[in-house]
Amino acid sequence: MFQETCRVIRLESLSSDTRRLVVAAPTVARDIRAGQFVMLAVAASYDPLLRRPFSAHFAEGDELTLYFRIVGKGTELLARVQPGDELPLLGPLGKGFSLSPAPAILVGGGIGIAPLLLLAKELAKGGNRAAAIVLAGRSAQEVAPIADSFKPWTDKLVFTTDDGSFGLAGRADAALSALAPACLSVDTAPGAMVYACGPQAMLKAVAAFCRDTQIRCQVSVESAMACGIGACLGCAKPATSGGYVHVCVDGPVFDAEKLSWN
Amino acid sequence: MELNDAPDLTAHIGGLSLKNPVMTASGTFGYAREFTPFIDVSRLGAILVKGISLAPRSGNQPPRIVETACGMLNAIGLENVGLTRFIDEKMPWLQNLGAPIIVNILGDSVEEYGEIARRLTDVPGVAALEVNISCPNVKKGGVAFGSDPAMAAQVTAMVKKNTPLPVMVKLSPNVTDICLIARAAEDAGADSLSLINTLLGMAVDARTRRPKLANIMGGLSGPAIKPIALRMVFQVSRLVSIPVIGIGGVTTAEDALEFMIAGASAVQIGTASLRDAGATIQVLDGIEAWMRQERVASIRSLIGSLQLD
Repeated sequence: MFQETCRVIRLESLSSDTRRLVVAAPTVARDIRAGQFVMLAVAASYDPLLRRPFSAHFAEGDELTLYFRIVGKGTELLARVQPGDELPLLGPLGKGFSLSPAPAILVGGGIGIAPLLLLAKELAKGGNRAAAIVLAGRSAQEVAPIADSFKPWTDKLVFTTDDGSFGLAGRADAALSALAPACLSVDTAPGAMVYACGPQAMLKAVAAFCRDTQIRCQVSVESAMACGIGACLGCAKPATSGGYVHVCVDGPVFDAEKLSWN
Repeated sequence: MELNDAPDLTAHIGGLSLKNPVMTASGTFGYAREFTPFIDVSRLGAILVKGISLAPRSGNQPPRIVETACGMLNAIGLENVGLTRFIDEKMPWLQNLGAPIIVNILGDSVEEYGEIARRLTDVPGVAALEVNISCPNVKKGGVAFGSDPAMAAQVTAMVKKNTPLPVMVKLSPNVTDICLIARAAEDAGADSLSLINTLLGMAVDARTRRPKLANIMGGLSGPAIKPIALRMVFQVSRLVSIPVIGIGGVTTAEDALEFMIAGASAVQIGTASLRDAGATIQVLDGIEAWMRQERVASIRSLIGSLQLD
């Protein structure tokens, strides 16, 4: 874990409300693994007060890329940064995806697509290209602009949108259940793994599908956070075993069965 | 011209001598280990660890935190490992840190405060206790003891009876007159007072028409509460003769100096550490730099030095 001042290289507008931010963060970028996150200070002022958690979207050399949606004051400010701006950064934080050599399907929904790009790259570099990647969203404007980035890392890229404007119409878990028999036959590929990140409802459906079909599943979950390092205990999620886990230090990636989905 | 000798930052806190007046605030610094990748925690005047109850607590349902203008609300619900695990698993590491450890304690009953105090007395490395009678986020205990002078006195007396350790009593601002509670705690034997804990507040989501915290209400902290905290530190420090520790929105060295001028003998830094893991050390370095620049030889000369006409 490091505190580092990162420098903005470029900010790309992918749609009216999604952005991709590339920063130079030599220490963090070299160390960060898929599924881990950073806390980024978006303003020097007291409003907004806290740093914002962002999972690593991509990392290569000195460069770290974040993918975010403008949802409030913090991300509005972040969407106005200029090349050369310097922002304090804390990272890499949390537990990322545990890479398995087993056949893999990646499922991302909405802004939850973010960590899957770095994951897809790490899997491919490790000699286990994703069997399939499902990218889901509300409409074409959300999914289409990010689609091409994934092409180098898989031979099967599937899109689903709520309104059917891009790829299949419907939900990510429906696409997963259609793909799974061919890509990750449990009979022939023990230890098949689904890696998912997205809205709670999507993760719940994906976790249920994986439980029913006995496919292992790792999910990356979201939470409001204050510190990102396990000090405030603000980012609690109910655990299957009773009590709570903390997204910042126990996660953000969990085995799906460790979390209570009710 | 700068000071030639190193400035004297020593703070005296009711039975405790600290190398400087910068402490952490309980509940914002975990069990200190979380911060070791970022700062040299041995430099701190004292470390206040997460509040400890007799039995472990799992805390409140999420969402537990929400950001507000220049501040944040929390309703963590005193999630902690409980006294036994704290003594067995946390203290052996904490005792070698090089900074005094002050343990924040919380009971469900007056007797429980006494038992916790007794059991912590001979634990190596425990320098003092901070008695939490001011947590707004739990149903039993906490602020129930801190909003009634008679109860505050009972808890304080019970802790004092059960330990020779210095006892700091942490006061709630969620009362009509904090001076009444302060006086009661002092009369019951408190060695120092720390104030303020968080202010009870809430946040509403207009779109869903639901509270933003599962607990509905939570404690407000951060720069937003600093003026209230300063006022209360000023009032209480003029009333009591024991040291007062200022808490509430301290983010910079200047904030810390303001609290000391208003009457605090030391400060605790809370939410600022969540915002920036290095906040405590930045405040400490800032105080020292200011003393050199202003040629202030002893930080103690600042305490209560507010100029009034």
